Amino acid sequence: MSNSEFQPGQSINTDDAMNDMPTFAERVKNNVPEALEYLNQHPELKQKLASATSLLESLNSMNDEELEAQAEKSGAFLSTVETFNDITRRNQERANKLDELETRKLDGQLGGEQKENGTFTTAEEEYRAEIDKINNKYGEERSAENVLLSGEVDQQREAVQLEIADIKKAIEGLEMQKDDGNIWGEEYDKKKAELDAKLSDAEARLEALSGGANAQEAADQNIEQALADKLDDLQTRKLDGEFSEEEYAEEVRKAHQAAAEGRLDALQNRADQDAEQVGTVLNQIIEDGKRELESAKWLHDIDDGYNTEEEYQEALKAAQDKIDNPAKYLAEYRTKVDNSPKAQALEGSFNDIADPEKMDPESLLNMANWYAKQDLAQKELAAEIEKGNPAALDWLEKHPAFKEDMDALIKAREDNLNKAAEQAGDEEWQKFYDEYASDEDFRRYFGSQEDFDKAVRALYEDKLNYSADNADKILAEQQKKTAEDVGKMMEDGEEDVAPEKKGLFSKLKGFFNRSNRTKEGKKNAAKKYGLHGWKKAVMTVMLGLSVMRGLAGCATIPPVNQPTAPQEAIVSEASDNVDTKSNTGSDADAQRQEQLLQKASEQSLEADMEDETLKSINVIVDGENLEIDTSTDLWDGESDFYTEVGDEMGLKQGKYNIVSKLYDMQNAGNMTKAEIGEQGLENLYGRSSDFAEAGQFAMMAGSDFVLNGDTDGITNLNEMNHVMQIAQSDEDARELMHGSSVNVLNDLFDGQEVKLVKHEQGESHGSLYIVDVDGSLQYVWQDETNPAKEDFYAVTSEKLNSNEAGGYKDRYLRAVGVIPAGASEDEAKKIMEKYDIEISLKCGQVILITVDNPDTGDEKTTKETSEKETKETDEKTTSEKETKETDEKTTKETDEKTTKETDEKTTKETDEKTTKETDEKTTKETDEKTTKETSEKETNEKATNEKTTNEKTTNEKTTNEKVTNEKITDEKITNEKVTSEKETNEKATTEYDGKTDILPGEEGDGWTQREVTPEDETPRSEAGEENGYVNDNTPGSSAENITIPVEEKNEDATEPTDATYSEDTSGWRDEVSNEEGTQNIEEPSTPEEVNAINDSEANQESAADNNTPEENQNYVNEAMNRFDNGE
Amino acid sequence: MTPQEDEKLTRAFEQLKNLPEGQDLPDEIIEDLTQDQLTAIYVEQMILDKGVEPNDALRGVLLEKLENAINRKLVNALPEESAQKLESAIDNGASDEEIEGIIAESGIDVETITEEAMTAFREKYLALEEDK
Repeated sequence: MSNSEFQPGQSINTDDAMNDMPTFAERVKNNVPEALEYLNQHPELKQKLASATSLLESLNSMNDEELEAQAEKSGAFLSTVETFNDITRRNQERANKLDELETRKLDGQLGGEQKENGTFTTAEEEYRAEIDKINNKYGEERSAENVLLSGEVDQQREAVQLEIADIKKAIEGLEMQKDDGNIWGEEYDKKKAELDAKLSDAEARLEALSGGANAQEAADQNIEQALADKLDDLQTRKLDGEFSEEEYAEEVRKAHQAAAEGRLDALQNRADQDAEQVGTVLNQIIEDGKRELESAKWLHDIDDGYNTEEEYQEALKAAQDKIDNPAKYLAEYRTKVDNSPKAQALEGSFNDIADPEKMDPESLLNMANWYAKQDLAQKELAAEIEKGNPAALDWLEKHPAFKEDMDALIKAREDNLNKAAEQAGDEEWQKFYDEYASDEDFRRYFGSQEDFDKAVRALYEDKLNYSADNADKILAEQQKKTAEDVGKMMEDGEEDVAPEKKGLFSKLKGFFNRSNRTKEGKKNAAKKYGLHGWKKAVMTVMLGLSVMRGLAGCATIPPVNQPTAPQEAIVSEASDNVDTKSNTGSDADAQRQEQLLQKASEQSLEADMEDETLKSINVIVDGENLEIDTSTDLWDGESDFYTEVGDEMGLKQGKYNIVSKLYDMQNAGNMTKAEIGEQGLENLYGRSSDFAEAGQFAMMAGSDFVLNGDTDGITNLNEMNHVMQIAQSDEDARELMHGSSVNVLNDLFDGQEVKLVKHEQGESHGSLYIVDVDGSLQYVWQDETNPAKEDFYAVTSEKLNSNEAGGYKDRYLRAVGVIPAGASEDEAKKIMEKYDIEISLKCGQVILITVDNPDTGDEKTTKETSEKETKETDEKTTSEKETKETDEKTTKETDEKTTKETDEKTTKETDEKTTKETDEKTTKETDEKTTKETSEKETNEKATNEKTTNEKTTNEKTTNEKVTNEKITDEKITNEKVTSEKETNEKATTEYDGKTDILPGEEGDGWTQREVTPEDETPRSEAGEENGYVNDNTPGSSAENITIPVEEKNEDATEPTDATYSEDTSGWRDEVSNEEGTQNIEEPSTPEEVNAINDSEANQESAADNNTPEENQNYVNEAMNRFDNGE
Repeated sequence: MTPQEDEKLTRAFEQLKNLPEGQDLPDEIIEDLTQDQLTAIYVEQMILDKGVEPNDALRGVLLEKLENAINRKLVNALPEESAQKLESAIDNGASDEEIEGIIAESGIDVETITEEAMTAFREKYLALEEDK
């Protein structure tokens, strides 16, 4: 037995752990402290060896027959693989030596050594001597002349083997011809005889060339026979009762061990011919003995080294034996050098190392590596067989037990090759193949069509760079292309929607998916095809759908430092933006933001907030006049998200389990809508004290937290997050944000009809949530794939939902990326028309939500549609109603639908139409060009069904666009720049042209005023003063005939008409009728159409910035005065 | 998804797992499925029947086209007068119930048209030249 027995106290040489595995394993098993310590230090390695140990466990649990078969299989395979590899290696080494010798001879480096007799060796003499050495070393006995004349023996052998393979194929072909009846009788006999003769001759030559290899095989066969005989004997003796089960198992193991040792010895014998190699191993054995000797002595000197003196002496003896008799351990070391735990397992150590928990991790890793090598060896051998390597084929012929395994591996290889070709497309493959097929010289190289095909396929595989790594990518691309082709084919020949119904089609799409009748039809269709056969399909789909559970309902607010998976993408983007401190990430922008903050901080709002007129607003909810108490204290330190930590605000930990009144009121069946609306609004005002949530309103207003226009506007989530960071540590900023949010709410609802909208469970909506990202609150946008978990209410107003350029809706949707950066006003308007903006308290937060506007009939925000980038169907047509703002508009309220575009839309189809802007914006239109919105179809790239993540809010500020209120002959305002001019101190916001570092108020700050033309027809867009000032809500409007307050207007402005509201408040869906009828707008349906629109002349011009800083300042002053006067 | 929906799914899974081969899917499972799930299952089976290995790209395209096909057929089936009335009602903020009423008045058989649209869609897909 080798030196694998446990030596108590023997030190662990981790460098030799690979070679020392069973011994180390035994030390672990016997709780040797050093072994256990090493095990504890490398726990991670255990994981890698689960498969290896499971194999060992399975081996350990095998019965006799199974063990024999397994040992036979692995042992035979391994020995064969080792033999195969060993032969290959040694042949290559021999060939290299011969080449080197030839080179030396040609270079004249041979000869010239003095002999004992005083003469000198000739070159030829030295050459022959070297040849003999090489042959002796590698077992070759052929003369130097024969080697020179016939080339390398192994090459000759391979050539003969190839010849034999060809002859056998020819014989096989002949037999097939005979079977097919193409040849028979004398002709067949003659050809068969010729081939047989050739085969015999080749085999004889092969025998002569093989020499040692055949002897080696013979030796292996003898071992196998001996093992078989031994096992038979053991079986007989067991039946005779000579052994118990346990003893029999042990004997079997020993028999296998002996066979394994015999095989290894055979290898050893061959290796022993390499004296140099053996000498190296012997020296290693001696060195190990010396080391173990010292270790034994060292251990003996310590207290807990050896339990007894006897043990110490045994250790000394073992170590000394290695020093004195190294050859005795040669076989063992050869085994270890070969890194084959098989032999050690067969030695009976299976039991000891079966428990992975007790194994040395490094040893386990070595074992796993070995098994991995075994697996690799199998695959390599299969590849060689497939390539027709004669040696490999020969091996396979002699080991038919492995044929099945090899066939499977070869088939897998072929499948992969075929798959690669399929993925690339048949045409491409055929083209590639044909090119090589036309190369006669290349074809001639291969002995058969099959070989040629395989070779070309392999080349093609290389060309495709097909590998496991990019296979998925190739496959995905191919799948996508195929799916697109299928989609086109499914559309071909389909009946289009009748032109006059296209608008209706768009409006009804969402409805049909809610209709029970449609569902019934779908169920019928489903049942028709036999649901019993759908088990797999159902399971697949439902399993997939169940994954979406986590995305339903409220955005998950992750615990600190642990964003939930569905939010990861959004949150990571948000967190990426946090550090930029500005929309561009530049220091200059950050500095500018700080300057703005400072400037804003200098402006006290206390006086404004104390104004009694701001303590309440008057609204209409469900036809009822209400006075809403809007008095909220200034920042009192109470936040749902933050808590005071000294002078700053620390993030509250844990979940935000805030119950909102609106959320609770969903079940308030005994409350009127007016009561619900009133409570909702009061709650909103109350929540505005939380600066984190107030940021939502601030973002809508485009202001960070300043009430006058002397600041930049917030145009993206990044800026908002930055502002919130500032506010976290700045009390003044928090107060300003609070004030700003109150002012925004006032502007949105004061004197207005408040729309109360109920959303049912399951409705999808987009929303902006506050989430915790590594301890920092961030705004993240959740797109419309988010169905509501429960019913909930939301409030909105016409002003909030106005589609005017630069309005709250415009700014908000741009900020959250629903309107892509760089979108023209026309494009933005189309997007705005698809959505209604509402405010709700949901999931414990104030949220602004977007819901489908059924009037536009745009894509239903389903999970499927939200993942698609474009839809190019005729169903995308929107029927945008361009409406006049008149006081005669009637509205209806529904409980479920969101509002349509209201009086901010212009609906004229002539070129003379202009639009009024709402009173939150005063803009100047310098671009008089307008275009008609005719048959334009919107592609999904423009649509907000795209995922609106923080990425969409790019660094481009929408403030680069200016809206001029010049004549707009159509609702399409192309490429007009929007400036958020200074409004009243509670409403106006300013958007800053972020392209410069000029601060507002300074020259060239890009701040313009808005002019209202006489043809302004939108009552909500009061022209205001001669400066185009808007936002003049007059509180206390009458209930019966609510007039949207129109303050002093530009003398050229058109007198707004009164808006009357229907008594019917069953739902809220404004119908702003256009005297001239509604206008169906067809959206562009193809990228080409979109590009044509974008590239049109109308879209190329931009409004000029006409105001001087002085004019701007005058405007501000006037606005402030008006506010102070309670106007 | 609400806890009730979770429970439904869980129950559905359990029933499916124990479903003997060849037995129809219980109605109670079908009833619990949403329209999205129904169409998804329909498309999934369609692809399997085609003999093509399902993948997300193909699923997505077919789902989209199927929904469009259903809606298109329904809208085209509406009489002109009903279509106008319906559109006007929608513009005036009609509720789903009101829309249902108008459609019912129109006389079109929504269930049958939907089923036919889905059937035709399936047949067309199965008849397509073999996908690459």
